[in-house]
Amino acid sequence: MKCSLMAVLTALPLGACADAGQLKTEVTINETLPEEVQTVLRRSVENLVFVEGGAFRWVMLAPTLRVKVSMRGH
Amino acid sequence: MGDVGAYITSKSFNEGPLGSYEFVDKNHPDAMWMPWVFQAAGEKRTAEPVHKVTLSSYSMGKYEVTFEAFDVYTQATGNPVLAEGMLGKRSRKPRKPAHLMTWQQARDYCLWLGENTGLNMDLPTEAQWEYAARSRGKKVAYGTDTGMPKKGTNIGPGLGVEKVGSYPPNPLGLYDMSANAKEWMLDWFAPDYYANSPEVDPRGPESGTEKSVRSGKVVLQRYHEPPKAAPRITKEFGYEGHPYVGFRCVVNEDKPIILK
Repeated sequence: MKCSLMAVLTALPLGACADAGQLKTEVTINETLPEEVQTVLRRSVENLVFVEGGAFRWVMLAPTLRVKVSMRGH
Repeated sequence: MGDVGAYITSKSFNEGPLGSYEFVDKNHPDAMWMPWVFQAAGEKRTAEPVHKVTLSSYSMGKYEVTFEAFDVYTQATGNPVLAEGMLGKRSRKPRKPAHLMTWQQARDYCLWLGENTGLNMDLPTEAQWEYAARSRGKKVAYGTDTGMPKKGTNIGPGLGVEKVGSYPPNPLGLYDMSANAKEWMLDWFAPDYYANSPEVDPRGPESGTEKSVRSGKVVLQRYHEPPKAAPRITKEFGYEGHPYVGFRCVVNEDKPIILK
């Protein structure tokens, strides 16, 4: 049962539900790494969006294209 | 470069099978412009067959990897500076998506992030990218906030790259899924792979000569490029190669990731 639905049915505060409902993977950044590397690693983790899996219909548009283009003034 | 596309009926876009459109003249009362859709004379174009795919949960970078981040990586690992001397200052701003790298350079960056965070990181598979661009597989052709494009409002005005996150994210919270740099995929490219792939967590053909590239304006459009083709400058044409291909990384873990 989804946590939010359970909260509605049981009058459980949503805030309390958020941490209890879903396990998370915790990441520790090695503090001996150079500061700028730590910053990149930290931002990379902070900027992750969790995508819950599921089924979908995979389609494509034909024809497929090459990206290759030539231009001046890029 | 002028706009490329075709007029289709909005009814076929909204109500027909995904990717299958009725092509009409621009004066048709129900006509709508569909960029990057092509039609041969007399052809009723379709994206069939539709293929069901089931994906495990994963996490994806909210933004394309920037020059700022990629430069830290090259410096930390002793790799050559990306596209040094090939881009003007306006194109190589820190917050613009890193591009002009080979597929291997892009993948190595994701693996480096993974090694240093203890996470199983890599380039996204084509199926992962499309599922995320369509906000968990919704029936939309654009990875924008509304599912439709509006130049200058939710996609850029034309060719070239802009600072990452310049426009609103798609409903899943991912930026630039219908604009900015195109993106390297993990998969080898095969034109019919999407129709014959394994149903669960497809990772592309076993081998190939080109790698898949995604993130055109229309999220269903597929591209492909030789993985080792290094961009170059020619006297006649300026930059040649795959000038606008960047990337983002995914974490192949079925739980959300947080910092300790």
